[in-house]
Amino acid sequence: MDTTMDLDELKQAWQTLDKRLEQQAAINRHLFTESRVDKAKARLRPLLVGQLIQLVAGIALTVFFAQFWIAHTDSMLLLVSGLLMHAWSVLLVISAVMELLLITRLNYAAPVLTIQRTLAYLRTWRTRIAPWLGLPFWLLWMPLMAVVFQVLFGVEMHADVFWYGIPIGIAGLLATLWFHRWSHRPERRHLGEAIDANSAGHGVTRAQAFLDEIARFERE
Amino acid sequence: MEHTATMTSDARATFGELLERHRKIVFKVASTYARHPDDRADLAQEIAAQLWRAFPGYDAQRTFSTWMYRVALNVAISFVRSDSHRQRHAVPLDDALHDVADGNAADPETDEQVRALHGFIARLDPLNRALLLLYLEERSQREIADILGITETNVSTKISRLKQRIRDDLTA
Repeated sequence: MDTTMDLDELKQAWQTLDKRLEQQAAINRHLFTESRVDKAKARLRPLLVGQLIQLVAGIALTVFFAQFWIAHTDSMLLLVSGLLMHAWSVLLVISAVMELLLITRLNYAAPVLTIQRTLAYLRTWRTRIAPWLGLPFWLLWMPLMAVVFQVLFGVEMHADVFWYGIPIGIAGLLATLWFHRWSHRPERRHLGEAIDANSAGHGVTRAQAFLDEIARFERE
Repeated sequence: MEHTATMTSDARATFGELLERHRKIVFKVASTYARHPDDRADLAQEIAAQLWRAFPGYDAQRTFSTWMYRVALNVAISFVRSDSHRQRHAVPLDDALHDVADGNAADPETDEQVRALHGFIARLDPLNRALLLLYLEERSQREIADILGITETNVSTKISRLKQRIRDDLTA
């Protein structure tokens, strides 16, 4: 097989492809029907809807926990529990706002590098930052239970729960952090990427690699 | 983000007409970024959907093809980087290329050139693939710079490097 090919031949091959695509375009005339376009559009909605739900839930929780600790300043346990849960719900709102800002900046008619960089930031945020919102629950389940007990049953949770719960929570937290580091070592790259893909849909490594690729493309 | 619900029937007609006139851009981009026929069809639909969504923001003072290339390339690059696409693309390159070559072509040498072209495209990263496509489409350096979001000088440098790479890669 002779694979020798110069630039002119490459352009000639492109022209050939162009003619073939013209025939293919005629065959695929039905491609641009509205029903097909609507179907494709529907696939793009979940990301936006998901973040809007998170934002509304985050705001509702922020208001709820703020009202809770303001009403329980006489009890140290309930005050601290309410404040901790309040802080966590504020982080939930910040995370949702960050993602929504990135999503709404996704105007696909903007220059290629601008949009691809925004997408890579979004991917990095979703995989590197957002999943950590769940991690504090190794400890936060205790203040949450304290709030729930008070609201639902009108009783203060026994402080002993904290004495047992805090060491278990810290151990769980440390074990999770250790596992995260262990699974993301270069020799277990595939395991780490699989975990990231499960937690947020995309791999951190690939998002970062693409940001590097964009930077390299601009520099070269 | 949802503009289409408010698109007037006039705007829909204008969009349909412009899309019809430039529909080959969609197929060229889809063909450059997706080897598998099913993926190509999916990608072409995805591009059409994004064009439809973005159309209300299109400024008629600007060139339609430039706007279309931006949308199509952004969708295509995102498509090749998605997980589902990666999983479906466990297809050997040679098998995928059978679909590109025209079995009825009178000139087998031409088929070979098309295969070599696709082989070269497949070896490029998504951003350089966009540059090659625009170069082969004989777009001006200013337009390429506008589509990609880099300077004209940068485009000129990149094209020189790309030409050198073509010579190195394709001259066996």
